[in-house]
Amino acid sequence: MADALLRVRNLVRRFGGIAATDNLSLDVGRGELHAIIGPNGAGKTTLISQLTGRLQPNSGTVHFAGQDITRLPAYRRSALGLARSFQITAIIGPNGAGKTTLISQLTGQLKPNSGTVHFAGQDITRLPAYRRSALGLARSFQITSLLPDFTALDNVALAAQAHHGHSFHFWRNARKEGQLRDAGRAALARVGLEPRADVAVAALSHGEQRELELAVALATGPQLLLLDEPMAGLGVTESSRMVKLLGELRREVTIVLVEHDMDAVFALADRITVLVYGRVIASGTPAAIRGNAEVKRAYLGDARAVTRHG
Amino acid sequence: MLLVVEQFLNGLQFGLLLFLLAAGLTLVFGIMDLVNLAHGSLYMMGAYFAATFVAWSGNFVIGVVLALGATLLLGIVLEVVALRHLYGRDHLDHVLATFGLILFFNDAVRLIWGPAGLALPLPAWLTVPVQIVPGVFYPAYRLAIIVVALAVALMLYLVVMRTRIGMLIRAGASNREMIGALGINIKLLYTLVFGLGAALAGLAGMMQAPILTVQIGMGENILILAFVIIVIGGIGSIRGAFLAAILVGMIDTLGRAFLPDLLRKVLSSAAASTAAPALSSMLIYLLMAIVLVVRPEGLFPASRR
Amino acid sequence: MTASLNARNAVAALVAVLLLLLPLYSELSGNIFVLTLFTRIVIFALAAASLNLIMGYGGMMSFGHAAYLGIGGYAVGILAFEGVGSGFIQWPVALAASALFALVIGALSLRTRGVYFIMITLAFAQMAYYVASGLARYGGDDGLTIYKRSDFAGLINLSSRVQFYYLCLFCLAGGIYLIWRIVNSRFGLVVQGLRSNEARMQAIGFPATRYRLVCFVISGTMCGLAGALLANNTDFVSPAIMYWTRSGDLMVMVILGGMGSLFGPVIGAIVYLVLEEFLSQLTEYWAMIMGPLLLLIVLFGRGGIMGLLGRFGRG
Repeated sequence: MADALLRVRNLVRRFGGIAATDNLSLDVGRGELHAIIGPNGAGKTTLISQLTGRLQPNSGTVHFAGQDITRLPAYRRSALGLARSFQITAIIGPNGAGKTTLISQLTGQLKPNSGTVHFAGQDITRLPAYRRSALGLARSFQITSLLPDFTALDNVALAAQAHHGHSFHFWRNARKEGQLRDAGRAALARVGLEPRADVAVAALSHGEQRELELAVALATGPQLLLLDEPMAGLGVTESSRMVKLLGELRREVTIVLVEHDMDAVFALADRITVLVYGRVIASGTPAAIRGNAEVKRAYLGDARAVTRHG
Repeated sequence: MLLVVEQFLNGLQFGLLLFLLAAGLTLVFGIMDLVNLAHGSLYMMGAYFAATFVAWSGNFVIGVVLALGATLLLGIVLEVVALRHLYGRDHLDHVLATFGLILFFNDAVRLIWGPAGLALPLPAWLTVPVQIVPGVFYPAYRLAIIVVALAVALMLYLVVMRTRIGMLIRAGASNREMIGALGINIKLLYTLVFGLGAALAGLAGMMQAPILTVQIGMGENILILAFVIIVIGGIGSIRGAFLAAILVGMIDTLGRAFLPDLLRKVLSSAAASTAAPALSSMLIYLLMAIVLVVRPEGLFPASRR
Repeated sequence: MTASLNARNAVAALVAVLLLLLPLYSELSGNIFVLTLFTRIVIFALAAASLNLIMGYGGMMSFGHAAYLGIGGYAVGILAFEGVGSGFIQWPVALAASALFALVIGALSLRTRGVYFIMITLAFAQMAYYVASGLARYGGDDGLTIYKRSDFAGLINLSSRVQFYYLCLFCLAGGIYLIWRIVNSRFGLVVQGLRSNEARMQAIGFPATRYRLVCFVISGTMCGLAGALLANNTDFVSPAIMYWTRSGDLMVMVILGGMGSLFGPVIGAIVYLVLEEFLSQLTEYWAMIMGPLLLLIVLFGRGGIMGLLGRFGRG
């Protein structure tokens, strides 16, 4: 692709003896919604991290809008128009009010007022968090990718602040800066979170937090949005809302979407790249991917998911 | 030349002593993630116990053994009563709480033993100079420290590297969450590890006691050196602590021994004699600063992340 | 939520009024001691507030903050010794020296995180301690007596107890006000955000180190001012003020009062130093009570005193 917005060439990233990214090349065209799929451990998050600057590749190049950004630090890429959302690993339980509170009590971050929790016959109600994970309880490694002490509006306004001049201002109250607050509200409105603007992040439901993540990325005014599993843990209603939202966004901004949710991927993507063990095994239109035998083989367990649409 | 050899051995001896102190600290920090400022107090208690028991029993060895047991017991009691409630908390909470313990111990010692220090006299058989190499004499006691410290270091190495308990300790230092999954009684393991650390601190204290006096606050000064050693060596790494301790011991001793003369060549005598100890104390911190800037995880870090 | 704010604000307001009226009480009751005690408390409150800026708001746990007390103090002491008695020269030098030290130390230390950061700040403070001990000309270990307090050419007479107290109080009030403006400014939000989630902040476009460094320098400079005040208060400066246990005292004051709360450091300084004073009059072995007390506070008093008040108001 001649005028690719994002051009990745021969990217390699090793961890010890393992090549998480193995000579990977990829093109993302301007205005495209490009999905990256692959089984667990295929290296999707590692790829995203190298695109956003969190990880340095061992070799290979990344060009964005014609500029070589391979060695550029993370905070500079944002200035160029690259924005990411963060992946959350392993969520269990139903979505909605109280889910996060429940999880917190199961993992020990919160103590219940009454009642008990037994695990494998053992009473773990009062056991501190760090002990429960050791007992075999599925622990949600929730990477807090937001600022939990601040409100939703604070989060997006900060993102806007990063792109509206410098921040070495020590006197004026930043929360009263109309320009930033307006930009923040606009971003919140885009994802439908405006009514929740003044709620602390910790009090938002998981689905709302995912939407806020998207809003924060949007508030930086990106050209390319790297979304790392935005559907993770969302229920049916919220998922379709997110899909609708992404469908609207693709008209404004180029999107690279890393996802497991095949419904979303096939509904949204212009092009799909399939990753296995750090290398690309197929790249093409959704129709081409659906019919690709190698892809079906790679997704042994998920083969049914792929063929459901085929 | 002889002076150099003697100072070299002094440096080795001091370094080994620092290692004993740092090893306990690094174990506790690496496994229980506990920042224990009161480790210096355990060092001090070891010295005080030794001075007391030796005077009471009239026999050096018996006194030392009793003191060792007492320090071990004190460590265990401390862990069970106070410190285990700190696991999993912010490091800042540890700092505050153990700082409070330092205040407590210093005054408790003053109450029980009085403000003046104690002396720990050596038995005759330890004060004779030993000929290690023809023409080179070295005090028997300092030699004994080197031997004992090396023996303890070796024992520590064997326990940590060759036994099951040691394996748990190493695993814990690299990845805390995992050891519970192995079905071990963590409470007991932690208490034992802490007791071991306390015993090491106490041993260092009582070995150093005859050389310097036994006094209140002796723990604080050496505690900082112990932390510096851990940081230089790499947190959770006993091998790192060993090498860093030897390095620090050498630099500190050789610096103190030879810096005054070196300075006198450039400064006036009076200025040199005040500047020298200050400068030699600074060397260690300079080293730590360099290591941290160039290689922040330490020279031999335990966990591979 | 407003209920809890009121409990905290009420206490803060009460304390402010008490501090303001203290000299009056001292005059009327003839109790000079309480004035000198509270002058010292107010100075330490300023030092604690400066530490709270980087610790409570910025998440940088510095265990070497007492170094700035020493630097500010020695700036005044050394200049006085060399015949420069004017406060108009001494104090700016104290501030500049503190800022420079903070810049260098910060640039090196901020390459590390967590406990490494704590230890390296501790190490540098100890280096300052040893440097001061080695200055034979300025007293070394014995310290340096300051025979005349900083001279402000008739503007204010530092030798007057009452005037000096109000100067310290003014500096404290100014410091707290400055901190208040800073934490709500663009800069302050960035620093707090970095404490919360550095990766996220980097991803939206904020380079972490430079903001932290600037915060570090501001904090150090403010503490340098406290050092200059302290030297004037005791008419004396020695390396002991920089010893690491002094840094520990400052940390205790911040944590005790409640990290990340505006008035916390003031409350913390008052409680810590008054308690110290009260206990030492009770028994010679006051530390035996203070020690376990600190331990209990850590175990049960989350968020310090201000945090306690916050919960009390809500409940």
